[in-house]
Amino acid sequence: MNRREFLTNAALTGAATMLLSRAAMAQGAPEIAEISFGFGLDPVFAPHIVAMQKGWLEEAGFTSVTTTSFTGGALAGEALIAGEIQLWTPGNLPPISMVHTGIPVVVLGTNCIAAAADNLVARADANINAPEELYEARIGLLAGSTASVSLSQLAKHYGLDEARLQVVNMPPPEQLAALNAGEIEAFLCWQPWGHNALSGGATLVHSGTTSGFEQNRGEAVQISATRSLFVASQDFVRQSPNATRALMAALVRGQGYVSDPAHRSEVLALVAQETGQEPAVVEAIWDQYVFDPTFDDGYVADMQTMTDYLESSGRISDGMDPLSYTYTDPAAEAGVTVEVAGGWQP
Amino acid sequence: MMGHTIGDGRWAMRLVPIAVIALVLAFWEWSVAAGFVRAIRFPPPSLIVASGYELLVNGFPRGTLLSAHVGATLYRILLGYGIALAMAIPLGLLIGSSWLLDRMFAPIVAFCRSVATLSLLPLAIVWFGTGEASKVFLIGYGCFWVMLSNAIAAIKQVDPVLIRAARTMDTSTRDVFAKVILPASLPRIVAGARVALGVGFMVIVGAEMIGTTRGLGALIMEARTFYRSDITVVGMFVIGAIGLVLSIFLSRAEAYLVPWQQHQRMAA
Amino acid sequence: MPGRGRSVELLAGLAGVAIFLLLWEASARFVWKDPQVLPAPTQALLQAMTVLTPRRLAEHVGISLFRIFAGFSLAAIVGIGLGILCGWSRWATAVVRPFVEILRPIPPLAWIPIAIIWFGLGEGSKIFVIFLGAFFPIFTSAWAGTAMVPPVLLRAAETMEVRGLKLLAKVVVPAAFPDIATGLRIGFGLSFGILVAAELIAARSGMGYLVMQSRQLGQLGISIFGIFLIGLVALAVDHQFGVVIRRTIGRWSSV
Repeated sequence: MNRREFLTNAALTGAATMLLSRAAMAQGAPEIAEISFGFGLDPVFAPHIVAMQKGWLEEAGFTSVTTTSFTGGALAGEALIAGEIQLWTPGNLPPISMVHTGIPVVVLGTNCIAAAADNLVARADANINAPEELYEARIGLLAGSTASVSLSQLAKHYGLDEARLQVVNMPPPEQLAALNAGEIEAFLCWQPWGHNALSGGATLVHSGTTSGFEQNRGEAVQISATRSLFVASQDFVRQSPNATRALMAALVRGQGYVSDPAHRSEVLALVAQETGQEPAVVEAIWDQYVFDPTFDDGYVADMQTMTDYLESSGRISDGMDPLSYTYTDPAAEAGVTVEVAGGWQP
Repeated sequence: MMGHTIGDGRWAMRLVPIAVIALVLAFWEWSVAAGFVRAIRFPPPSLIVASGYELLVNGFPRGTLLSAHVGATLYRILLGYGIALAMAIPLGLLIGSSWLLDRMFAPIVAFCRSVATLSLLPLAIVWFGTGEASKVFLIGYGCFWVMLSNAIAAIKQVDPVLIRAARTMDTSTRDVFAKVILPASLPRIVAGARVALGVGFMVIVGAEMIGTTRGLGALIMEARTFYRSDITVVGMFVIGAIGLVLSIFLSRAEAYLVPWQQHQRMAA
Repeated sequence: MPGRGRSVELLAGLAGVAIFLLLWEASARFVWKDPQVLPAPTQALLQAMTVLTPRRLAEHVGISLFRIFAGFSLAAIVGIGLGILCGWSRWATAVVRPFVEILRPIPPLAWIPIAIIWFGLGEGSKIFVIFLGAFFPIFTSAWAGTAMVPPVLLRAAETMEVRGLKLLAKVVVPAAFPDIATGLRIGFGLSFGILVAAELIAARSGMGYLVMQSRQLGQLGISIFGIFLIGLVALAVDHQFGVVIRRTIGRWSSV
């Protein structure tokens, strides 16, 4: 669906959610009053931030909402497994890995579509204007991240041999340092790293959704399947259905709020403040995130792309149907459009 | 206890740790099977053995075998550790012998020893690139400062009685150093080498974050990224086993280099 | 001449640090030139001062010191205890040492998932990681010190009919003090080194947190400042350590 349709939906959803959350409250107070979110430094956490700031979670009956920030990728997932946090908002690759390892988690919805936030940037002096020129570049990439899937998809789309690409594994801050020092010629990463590189004089070779190659500059080419998801443990959802519903209601409401252009400056300021990022940076990358919780073919396709990558790169075997661990009821009750229903039930 | 035949004592001593490990493993396996402990949080030994086999034969990610991981890490550690020791021991002997140098360098040593490997990642990239050199540097860095501290302390703690005794016998300064101080400090230097080896291993996860997916540290990072806690545990066991083997080598080296140092046979 | 000795010592130490800082400033300004690659000490300090208030800084230092002291104290108690036990008894050595040598090389980053499961996201898991860093040098030194008591002391004690636990308490352990002191000092230094890894576990403040958080935000200057801060605090505490050790053990042994 396009932006306008979504925004109309969002407005309606916002109204519906307010009524629905009253209805949800009528069904019963949350089973646990204290919840903890895994948190991070991206703008993807805007709905959480707004929901907390506006007190919607307190309204729903949660007496204490804490956020726990994790600087390392796997830590939040480990904390979820240990029961230390109840809601996790990762990219769509880690939960798929988890499910295939037998860890009982469930996807409650899409937080945002972050495809456009994946950027392949290169040093200006590397002169990368055509896909084939990527063979000559050392490309920084975090192994096992959503960015590595995007690179793989880019190679597929432009007919490149993935095995010939020189990929250098390292975490994002080191990717930026290495690019500046000339140790690598390019890197593919999520925000704000791409933005930081561009501010330092790098060029945008390809974004998750748009090409920067000379041959088709500006053409819409989808190479990224990256989404930010709401993930919880199956135990939590089974034992605390009211809490799950209330949580989703508040977060979906947050999504609607941050998508509304009328709230833009307010939301940007809040996000900058809570995440510690520079306001100018948040402003620059904001439009790359689409906070659309709709369950549609796009969701299934993105999840399938991730699953296929995990299988082909030898990390998992026997890929599972994404809908088998997707639970769409709480989102549906919060007013989200469910074109493709999730297969999981408590 | 000392009166019993040495034969009995030694066999029993070797068996006890093995028996304890076997008991712990059995209890662990049982508690997962009985449902007291969730397999996700504590992968049972049977799963770990199965994953270990998978790692040996198929590799993780598929194609990178355990042997490849072990080989890559061993190479880096032996190189980094070796270079660190080769630099730190002579330097330590020098600094430890001079009151002025010791006082001058003490703050720098204490400072550099406290710098975490993770903090050095960006610098390592800038100075050594993304190849093997940066990993060897990061591993060597940790080993170096610890070995240096121990070597300095080893020299300083040489029994002054020995030195005075040598001097009364008109020994030249060079001989005092080579024949008295150096041998007397060897046991502590070996102890320091043992600690430094541990530190070298400790930093492999950080050191192998750059430019590679091969290596036991990289394997652990991969395993964590994909939530294969069983593989993380396999990795930990393999690292522990290698560390144990190397530590036994060190003990053998110690027995060879310092044959006069009998570890005290005290009350058993 | 103790007074003069101490001021020379202080000057020597300061000289060493000053040379180090000057070298860094020079290479950052003239060799790398790019503050994004390696900021000079002055640049790092400036960036840090614009973001950190003195109160927040004190918070960071305070919570980190708490974690370090807690983890270190545990490591000292267990390490010295087990070390002396192993140095004293061959049986204990046979049972304990294999476990220690197997656990020693395991990286703290590998322990983190287990730490989270065992101790949650609070202070416990961080203190556990610090314990792991500090324990091994302390154990090794305590064991080596206890096992390496000069035979001449043992024989002297024997002639005075001092045996068993009395021998242990009055002769062996004091003889091992210099080694134990060295082990404690190195263990303490390593606690600082491991602080960054420990504070990865859902910390909200702390010097290690500062280093990693600013790294995530691309604020390299603050990250370097944090590393320097850790080093300085480590230095200050290590100096105090040295003073205490010299006053207690330095009387009979050169440390």
